[in-house]
This record gives sequence, structure tokens and C-alpha cells, in this order.
Amino acid sequence: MKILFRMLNLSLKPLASVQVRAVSSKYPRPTPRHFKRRLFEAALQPELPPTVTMCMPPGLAKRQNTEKSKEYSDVELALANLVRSWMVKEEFRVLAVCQFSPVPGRTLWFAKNQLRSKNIEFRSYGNKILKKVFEKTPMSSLNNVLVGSNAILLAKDISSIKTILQETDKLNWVEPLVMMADGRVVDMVQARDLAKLSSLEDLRAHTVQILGQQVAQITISLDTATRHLPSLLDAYASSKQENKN
Amino acid sequence: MASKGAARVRKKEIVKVVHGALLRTNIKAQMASAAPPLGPQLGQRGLNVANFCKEFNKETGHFKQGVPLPTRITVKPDRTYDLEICTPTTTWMLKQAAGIGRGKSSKDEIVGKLTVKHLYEIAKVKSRDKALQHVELEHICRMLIKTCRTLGIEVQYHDLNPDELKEFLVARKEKVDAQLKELADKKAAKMLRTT
Repeated sequence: MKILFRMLNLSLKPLASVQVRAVSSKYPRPTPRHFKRRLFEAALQPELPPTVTMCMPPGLAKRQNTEKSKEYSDVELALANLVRSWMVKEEFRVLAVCQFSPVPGRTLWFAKNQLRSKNIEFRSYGNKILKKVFEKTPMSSLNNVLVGSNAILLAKDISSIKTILQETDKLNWVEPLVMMADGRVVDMVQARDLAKLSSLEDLRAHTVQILGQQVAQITISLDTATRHLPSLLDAYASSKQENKN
Repeated sequence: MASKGAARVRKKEIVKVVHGALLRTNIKAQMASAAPPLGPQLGQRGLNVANFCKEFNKETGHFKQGVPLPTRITVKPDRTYDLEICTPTTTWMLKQAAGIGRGKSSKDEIVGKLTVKHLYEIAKVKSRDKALQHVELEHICRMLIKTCRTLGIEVQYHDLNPDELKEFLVARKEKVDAQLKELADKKAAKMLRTT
């Protein structure tokens, strides 16, 4: 065939460029190839550029994939920026990182709406995006819990800690792992303790009371010394007079 | 002969389809009937089709006849059901608002024009749906804008100019008529084709 082409002074290159598989590449090619195909390929081989096969050391492909998965694409960076600016704009004060199990879409949609009616926002962006959002903020300490499938619950009021716990207890596909209130990490035991209070105002009143007690104690202590001083001086003066006499 | 008889006796393996409890379908207002596709859908789930149609038509009496209504039917194990009738479909409302009957058939085709005021009013209607309760109106409006894009409706911020709109709709009508004629011709040609 090659000789025939040479005789006709024709090049096989344009023919090679035209040859495309008409069937889907999803189907495996028959092996061994049909003899006509093998004949054609043999005739074509001198005209085609040599194919260079590259060997890849074992594990390199996996390492490359891992490195690639850690890199952020432009879209991911834009999403992370958007999420961060939204969180800042909405002035959220409470953030709960939850474990999020798969759930039917309709159930999830209704639950999201239900949470929104209680001023809690449910968001699920994926750990990669969240890690980027939390980068260079106090929230980066939450990176340890961002493993597996996670979602975040956001609220604008500190007292929402109780609401979040109440609501997540009702849903068996969301489990809060850790919370963050005003830049401070609150573990679940602490959060449950806080939720037991009827209101966070009680806590504030209790703190004020403790501080007030301390101040009163200091005043009393100082006052005692002041009160005792004249009597001490009197006693000293009388003892001195007795000695003179 | 015997083998033929055996083949006739052998039954087909019937795979029983297990239907979910929820049936999502669009039914035209006051036009529910036992005919396909609704009748078989309900029948397969063991519901009394006649009673369902009667109840649905009664419930949708306040709608104009033929308005497509998204309906959610939750079938209970005792063959009773919960009927949830939503507000008319978004595409229908958008088409009605734009005064068109047909969406885009090719890329970048503009089939109608609407303003954000129209979308706001439609969003207010849609927000009454059970599925859209507690969803922000802005979010619903964004969803509507996306639907407008799929339909080929252009959304603009400023009010529409009636003269320009009329001109546009007349031109559009001619184009749609031509498209429909072409489709009818194709269909006729297909029917007449013998080979």
C-alpha cells in the first residue's frame, strides 16, 4: 500500500488527519484489530510522527492528583471570596460546623426553609471552600473538624446556640460538631450548658453579680481598716498616757 | 409443538415497580381526568382515580380552566392521600406576563420582554407555595430570572415602551407562525413518506 502511495506520489498525512473514529470512544477497540486496519496502520506508520511513550514512576500520578486537588481554581477562589464577604455583610455571630449525612433533596430543602424561619442559615459548600473562607481568621482553628461531609449553620444572635441545638436534635442527618460564638470556639459540652440557661441575660446578670460582690468585698475590707484605725490610735494614746503617769 | 406450548405457558418475568410515596405532577386546573398520563399514574399507586379527579377539579375551581398546576400527592399506605396544589407553573406565568405562547427554539433567541416589576409580582405569587415559604423574595426573583433565560425572555430594569413592545410582538408573531408552519410541513412530509 505504501509503495502504491509512493508510486502515485501521494502523501498519507492528509488521509491520516481525516481518519477519525465514527463510534464513541467509550467502547473498547477490538483487539486484535481487524487485518485491514493493521495493514492500514502499517502503511501509515512511516508517515506519522513517532509516538513517545512516557513512563511514570509508581505513586507519581497519585501525588500529582493530590497536589492538584489542593490547588484552588479561579471559580473556587471566587466562591470563597463571595462566601466570606456574605458572612461579613450579614454580621453572623454564631457558626456551627455540623456533620452532614446524605438526605433527599426535598427533605433538605424543607429543612433549610424551616431553619431559615428560625433565623438560622444552612449552607454546605464543601470543606475545600470552607478552609479557604476560614483562612487567616480565628475560624481557621475549625479546620480540624472539616473532614468528610460537612455543613455550616450560621446565626446572627448568640442566643441562637440553643435554637441550633434544638433544631439539630430534631434532624437525624445533621450533627453539630463544634460551634464558634464571637470568635471563640465553644465545644458541644459548653454549648449544651449554655443551652440549658433560660436566657443568656441570666449569665450576664450572674457575672455582674459576682463582679459586684468582689467590689463590695474590697470596699468592706478597706473600710474595716479605716474604721479600726481611730480605735487603735485611741488605745495607743491611752496606753502612752498611762505609761507617762 | 410441545416446546411451542411450553413457551406459551411460560410467563413473562414481571418486575414489580415500587413507587415512592410522593407523586409530583403538573395537572391542568379543572381538567383532571382518568385518561393518561394522570389515570395510570394514580392507578399504579392504588388510588381511586375518579374520586381524586373529582376532588382536584373541585379544589381548583377558582383557577381558570387549563392552567397548569404543579401538584404533589403524598400517598399513604392505607391508600389515602394528601393533596398539595401549588401556584401555577413559573413558565406559564412568565409566558402569560410576556404575552407569548412559545419559548425559544434556538440559542440567543429573544422571545419576549419583561421588567423586574413583573418578576416581583410573580415572585410574590410563587412565595405562597409550601416549598417556597421562608425563602427570601430576592432568591425567588433570582430563580425567576434563570427561568426567563431558559425561556428566552429578556428581563430589563426599566419600564417597557408599549410601542416598541407592540412592534416586537408583531414581528415575533410572524416568526412563530413561520416556525409552526415549518414544523407542520415537516410532520406532514413525515406522514406522507412511504419508505
